[in-house]
Amino acid sequence: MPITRREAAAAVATFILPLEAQGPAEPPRLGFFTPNGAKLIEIIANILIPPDEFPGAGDAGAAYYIDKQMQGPYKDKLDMWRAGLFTFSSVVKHHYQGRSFLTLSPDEQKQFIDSIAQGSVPALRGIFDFIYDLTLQGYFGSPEHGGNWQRTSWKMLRIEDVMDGDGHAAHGGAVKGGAK
Amino acid sequence: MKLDPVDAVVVGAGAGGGVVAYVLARAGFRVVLLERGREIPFGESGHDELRSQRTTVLGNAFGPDDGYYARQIRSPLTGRFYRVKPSEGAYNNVAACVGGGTASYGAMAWRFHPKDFQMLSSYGLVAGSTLADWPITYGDLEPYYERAEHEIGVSGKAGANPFEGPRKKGYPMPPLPYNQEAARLAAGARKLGWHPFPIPMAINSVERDGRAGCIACPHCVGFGCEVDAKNGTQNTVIPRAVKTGNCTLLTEAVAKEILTDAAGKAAGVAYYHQGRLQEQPARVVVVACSATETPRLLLNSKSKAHPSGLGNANDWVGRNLQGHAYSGAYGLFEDEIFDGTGPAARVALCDFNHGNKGIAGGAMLANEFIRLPYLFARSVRPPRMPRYGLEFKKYVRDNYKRSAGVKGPVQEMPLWDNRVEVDPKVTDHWGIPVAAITTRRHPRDAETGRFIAERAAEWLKASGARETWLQVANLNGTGGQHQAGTCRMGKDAKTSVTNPHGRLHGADNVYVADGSVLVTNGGFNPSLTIMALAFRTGERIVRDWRKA
Repeated sequence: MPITRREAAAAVATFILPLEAQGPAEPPRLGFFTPNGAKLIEIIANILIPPDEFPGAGDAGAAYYIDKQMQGPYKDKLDMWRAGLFTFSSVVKHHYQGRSFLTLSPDEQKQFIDSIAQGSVPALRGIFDFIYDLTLQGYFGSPEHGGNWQRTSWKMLRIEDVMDGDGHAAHGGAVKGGAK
Repeated sequence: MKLDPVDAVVVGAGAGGGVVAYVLARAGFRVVLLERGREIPFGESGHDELRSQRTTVLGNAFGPDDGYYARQIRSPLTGRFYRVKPSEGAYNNVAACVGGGTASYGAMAWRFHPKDFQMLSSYGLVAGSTLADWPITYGDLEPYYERAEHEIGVSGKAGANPFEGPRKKGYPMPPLPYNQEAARLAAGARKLGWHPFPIPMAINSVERDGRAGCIACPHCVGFGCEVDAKNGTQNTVIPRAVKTGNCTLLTEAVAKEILTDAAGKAAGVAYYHQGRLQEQPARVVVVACSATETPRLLLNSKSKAHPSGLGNANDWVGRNLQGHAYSGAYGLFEDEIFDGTGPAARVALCDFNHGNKGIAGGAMLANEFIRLPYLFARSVRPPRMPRYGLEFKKYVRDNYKRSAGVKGPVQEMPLWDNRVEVDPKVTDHWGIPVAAITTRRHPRDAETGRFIAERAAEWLKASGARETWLQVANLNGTGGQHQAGTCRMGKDAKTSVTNPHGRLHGADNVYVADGSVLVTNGGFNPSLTIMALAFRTGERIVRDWRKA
């Protein structure tokens, strides 16, 4: 079941971050996606990396990562993205009697993603691979890029202590005398 | 604008150019060192996996800039060229910054095996390949390996690798200690009767030269070093060259062409800087732009005396482009062998560089650098594992700290048709024709790759891996890293581009000092070999061009 941004933020906080300052109390402002566009990506991202004891990729901000990068390094992929999403919507409508992806049941949504992941719709292979890659980037990359809220994936992997995605040393500075 | 003449212009402040500039400046030559990139301080590049030198999905932290550069790459599928940006994998990027690749490399500091210099004599002709011996031997280069190890700063354990060629002197620093993974792998290798040892690294294991020892952070390959414990040319020979007062380092200076006089001798270098075309006259020109950009510059330097490009009278410039056919295996362990200790690549063995039945060459095998989370999720997965869904997520979560990778830079068979050309129809920001690259691999490379990958899996199993899978290089193309071979050195001008000292055939005041001159690429990371050759070439230039 799709959850709202607010629920997701709450879930993230409940699951993994009782002590630390929470992530966005309000969802960050979207610059590229419409609210429904972001919701679509959230659902897909949560199918690719679903919630369990740890939030899924959609819950941890993958759509906001993509939203931010589409206005930055991926600017030149905008046409490809729009064309891909248009085809995606058309294929969904064709298969589900005119319905949109957002109105499908969670099971139907997962079945549809499974079928395009297996390559059953060649026209959607490119956009699927792109969304997949961006979702992994948004989930596993540094939070500074708009995803991986509250370092969800780094907590899941138990590597928070050794990661510092913001370019600042997380090791307390130089250790004299060399490697330990 | 025509500038005041200097003794030497060195184009490219990477592994080779930085060393040559230093040798010349120390000998009293007035040197201008041109670098198209900038200095990249750690505070700018940081530890961002998605914008590192290894994973460039959000850009190249060490250049070149996507907005200014491009290459034409021939598709292995269609046979046609297509345009590629620097941050795209097919570009075959090295870097564009002070230090070149050495500012962000993994810093393995290997000497090639003596047989790597004698591939033709060792294995005979390989059908379809331009395999050849180097015009120099390991013995010729040994003193320069030693100099590079001490001037750049390498940590290691002399004598620990029984397959290494003779060395006169030990390393200036002790090796980085094994981390948990390396200790486990070393024990596994010994069980097999193999010969593991600590990887020689251009990383301070102790404080040296006013800089800290390694703090064992997990961000190493692909990043600058936050405590400056990683040694490249940017923090060793280049600042020393500048300190002599004889070397001017000019950044964001983009070489357009090497200028020649009526007799065909180099007169200097034309370059763009701050939007203006400058001419720097010099007695000697040293080209050290990498095995892709060096042939590009030579081929873009056409004149009456050199109608097909400088040094290209026999059509050898840009030929024989090689990389490494990296192959290896991953393994999953019962317990957590990951301890977060970088650079993680700490143990290697050279049992399979040569002497492999039915195989020409081979590779050093080493454990991998730490696989950061995105790269792990993207590429470290057994074939049985789905790439998304709950099972995938659980796999990543359970195995991130239970995995290890072992791989090796498989030596490739050089091919005449693997080449760098220039495309006059496609230009960069300054209107300079871009490099157009055509590569594939020789079928023997995949055989060698499979053999090496199987040894890697055997090693992982002997070390306790419960499951392993192979990753074998494909034949589609090469040169993604460790580019080499495009200005082969040789004794015969008809079958090489430079003489055994790196001097260009056809223009006796032009030298090449980068991976281009390597005849074959060894089964090792090539940076120390490039540096050693640059020390040797630099010394030769001093001898040949010292003022009367």
